[in-house]
Amino acid sequence: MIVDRSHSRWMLGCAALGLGSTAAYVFYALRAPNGPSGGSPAGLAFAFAGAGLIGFECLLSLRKKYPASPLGRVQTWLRAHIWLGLLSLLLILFHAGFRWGQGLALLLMWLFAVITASGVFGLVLQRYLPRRITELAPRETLYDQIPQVIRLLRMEADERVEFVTADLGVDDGEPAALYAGGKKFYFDAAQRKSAAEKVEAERQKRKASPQIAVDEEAGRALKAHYLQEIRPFLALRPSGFARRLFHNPGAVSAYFQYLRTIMPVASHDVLRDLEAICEERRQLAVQARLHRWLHGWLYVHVPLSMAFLVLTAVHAVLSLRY
Amino acid sequence: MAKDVILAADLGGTPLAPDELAAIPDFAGIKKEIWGKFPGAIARKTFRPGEIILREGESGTTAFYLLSGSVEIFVNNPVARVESRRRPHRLTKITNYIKGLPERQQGRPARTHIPIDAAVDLPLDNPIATLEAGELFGEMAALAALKQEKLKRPKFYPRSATVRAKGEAVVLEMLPNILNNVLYNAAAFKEKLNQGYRRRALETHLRSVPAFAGLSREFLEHLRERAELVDFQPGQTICRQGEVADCFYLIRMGFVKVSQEFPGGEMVLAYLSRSSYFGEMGLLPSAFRVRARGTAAGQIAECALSREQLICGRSAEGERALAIPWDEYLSREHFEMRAEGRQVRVRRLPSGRNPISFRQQPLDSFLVSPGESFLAGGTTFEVLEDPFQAGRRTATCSAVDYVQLVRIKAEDFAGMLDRFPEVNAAITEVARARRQMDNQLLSRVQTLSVNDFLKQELMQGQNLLLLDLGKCTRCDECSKACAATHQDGVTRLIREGLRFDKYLVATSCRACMDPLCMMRCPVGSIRRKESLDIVIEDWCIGCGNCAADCPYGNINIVNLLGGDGRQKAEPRPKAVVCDLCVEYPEPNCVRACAHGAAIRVEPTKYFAQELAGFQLAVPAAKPAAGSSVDRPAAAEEQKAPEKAAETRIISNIADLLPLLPRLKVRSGPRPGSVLQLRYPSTSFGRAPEADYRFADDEKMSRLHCQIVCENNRFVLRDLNSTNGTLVNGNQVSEMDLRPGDVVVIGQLEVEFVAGQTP
Repeated sequence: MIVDRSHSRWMLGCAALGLGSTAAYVFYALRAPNGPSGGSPAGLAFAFAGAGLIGFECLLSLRKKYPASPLGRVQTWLRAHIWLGLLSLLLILFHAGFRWGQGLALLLMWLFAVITASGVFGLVLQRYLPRRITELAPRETLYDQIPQVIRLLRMEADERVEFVTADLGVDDGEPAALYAGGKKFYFDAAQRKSAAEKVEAERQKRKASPQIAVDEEAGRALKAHYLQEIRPFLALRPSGFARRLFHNPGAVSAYFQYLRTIMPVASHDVLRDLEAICEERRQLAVQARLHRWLHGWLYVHVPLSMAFLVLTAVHAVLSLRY
Repeated sequence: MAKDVILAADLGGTPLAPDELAAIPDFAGIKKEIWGKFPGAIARKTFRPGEIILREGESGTTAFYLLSGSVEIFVNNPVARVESRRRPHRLTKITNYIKGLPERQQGRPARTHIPIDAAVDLPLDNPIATLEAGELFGEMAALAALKQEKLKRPKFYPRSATVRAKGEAVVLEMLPNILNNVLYNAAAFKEKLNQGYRRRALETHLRSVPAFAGLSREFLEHLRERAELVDFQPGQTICRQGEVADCFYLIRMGFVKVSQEFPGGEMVLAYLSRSSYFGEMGLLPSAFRVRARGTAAGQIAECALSREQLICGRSAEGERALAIPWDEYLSREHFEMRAEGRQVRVRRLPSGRNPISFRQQPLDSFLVSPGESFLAGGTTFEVLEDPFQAGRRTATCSAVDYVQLVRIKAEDFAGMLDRFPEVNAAITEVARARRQMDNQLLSRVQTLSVNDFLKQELMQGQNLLLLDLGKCTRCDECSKACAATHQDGVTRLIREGLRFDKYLVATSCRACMDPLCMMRCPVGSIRRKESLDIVIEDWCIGCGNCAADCPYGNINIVNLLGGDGRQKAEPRPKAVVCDLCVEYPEPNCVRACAHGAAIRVEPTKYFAQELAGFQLAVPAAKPAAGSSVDRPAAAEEQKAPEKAAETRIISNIADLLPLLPRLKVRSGPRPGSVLQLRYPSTSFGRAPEADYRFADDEKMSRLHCQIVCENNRFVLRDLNSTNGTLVNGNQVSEMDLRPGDVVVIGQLEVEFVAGQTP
């Protein structure tokens, strides 16, 4: 979420509540004979208020589960989550009297600090990373589909290279889709052959002998470059060497520019296609990395929040009962 | 390739010789020489009990005629389960409210039967029926294939249901050329098919029309005997927008395109299939208005007119009276008027002293058609059609492929309306709702040329889901919300698609101006609601036609688990499409986005800045609002604005349009509507190239006149029209228009209204 002018009401509201709470705390702290204490009436009031807000914060995930709920938009709930979360930090500090305590209380304070820090960190990431993904990975796809897309890119690259080299001798298993080198086939009732049969026939024809005529040496060179350098980069987890070879758009461009100088003109269309495939693979890697950053902080924020909620309940019971 | 499939194919079975075919009693009257022209095009097949003859969803190009035995015809896909009748618990109600679940709709479903490619429709709650000897099935698929023969890649029509032999069944399987060239041309055979349809399916179709749902058997019998079955060829127009509507249509077979012409272009409202209907307006009784004008300004009176008597005179009194107080040449009660069919009867009363002049003849009793006028005393009386009740077609309907319709004429219906006032009320309500929808659509459609926008794919749609990639965190909450919204758990939204600037146009229904997805549904399960949202009903058989026809890939075929709990659930293919969350206040994908990245927009307004190719300098001062009669001195008026005016450059078309003046229609087609002027000029005429085309106005020339924006003035120029252009009653060749000026172009009368101030 991008914090902008549309948050101004929340900002002002929470600032007002914060100021009010601060004033109350100062008044209470100055008058308390032994200083502020979590067990005092004021301390407990701050505790209940803070815990109430924390409880509300945890309802965000439940709200997301029912998108059609009339209880406000998810966007509104997220804004409340952000600003009331910051307010709850203040209230908890007031409850604790700015002391970190011992034992469970200390653990809770640390947890809360980490949760708040991770939330703020996430907010900062959400401001900048979406735009970076859009700029750096225009060929992005759905994150869950990245492995499948990579596989399809690899199959497409194999197919393109085989136009020059014939059979590469690699086998990816059962193809998820049927490729025929760009041709489309339809059901032919007269011949009663399905598209799959025709595509397989085309594939066998391609593997049998080169469809684009180049001299043998050039074909061998392309095959070697492809199998040793390009194809490893099209794996789901490319090797370090392959990643370094194609680490930015300039590197991809330079590599294929070099290939175009050593390969005959007849193969340049294939090289252009391979360059586009490698560039897309590179962008998918960038997308995956930025996506992990954009969502990784949630693996800290959410579990710790759940733990914090449970431990807060324990702390409340223990504190009030004993 | 397609030609070979249609005209010659190995059908299997036993080919029949012309002698054998001529000997079949059902084909009596068809000469064997005719059979001889199509060798191998018809074959006899025998099926054992339980054997499947054809399956739903399979492509097919042949029709079947049941010679002997019987077959079962059914839809294998599960339909919506019957809802529990128990009232929900209070706690359930509360939790349902918190979850935002829509309330279950009570009452009868909109459809009670599933239309299929046979002589009978299947009941929705138990989709199975039996066909007996002498019945035909699969004819729609066969005729559709005939239409495809010219195409390189034919789109074959899927079977709409599964047919299984009940006992031993003997069928004739035939190619479409036999059906079209032989059987349909045999009067006796055609009549037999028609009688079968009347007996088995027509009543169901009639009852599916909401206005007819409560009709008695007697009335339905009356309609059934009087209904005509009429055929239309592919592309043939069935009725045109604006024509007098005098009949009502039910679709027995084929697809009908329903479209409306707007100033900005044509919009296809729907593709209707078997058992759908159109033309309820044709059953409305005629309703008129009478407008009286005196010789002096301000002497005008108007009144509605129906079949009841309306008394007109200088001091006529009562509810059904039109008083003309200014005309001393009229008696107190001078004449009466009443609607008779599509005309109005005028009759001078005995108390009316002076004669009434009609078509320059003094007459005591005569019939007046809408648009005509007569003179009584010193007052002109004009008969107009009531814009809210007039029986005029609001859309053009044309046949997409071979169409057969059931036609019911208004005169057959009119006599029964008095006995069934609830039917009258239902039809009037339909007309009112159609008129309201009309006005809503008119205001939604942009007035700039739709053709310009259609060049860009985005503009074909009226409602796009955009994802702002600068805000989207790729959390997929929108897709999850979509999946959670629909009972089948399948998301209609895919966060992939075309990119436009910083936006991603997500794969989601665009509510296109021309919904191609509706064209080939064999069971009529994909339809458009009044709000133009596309919905796919439960009885979809998953044939994939809609998915193949959607040019944007926004319809997907997914395997859904079915079963009603008593049988093992099996995955069945079904089409799924975004329906804009019609049951909810807003689309849930938008509601679920925590970052405000998902928005629904109307593309022509939202992308107006990119589309605007021109700029307009407008004066900041408010244009002087004067009457058409009183005009300040032109020279002084022209000097003053130049000193006081500031100029603003307007690039955004959405900001520009409201600033331009408009024309409010006072009489003519669609009175009360507003015509938006364009920049830099707007032309009027009957020709297709005119910006505003009035093809039916015989008094308008092909290019009659234009209004041009020059130096911040709007100038009307007559383009050498035959009947001239009038401004405030005076014929002009060129004139600056001012707010309040009344312009007459042919039969169109409009008022020039100022635009908004910037």
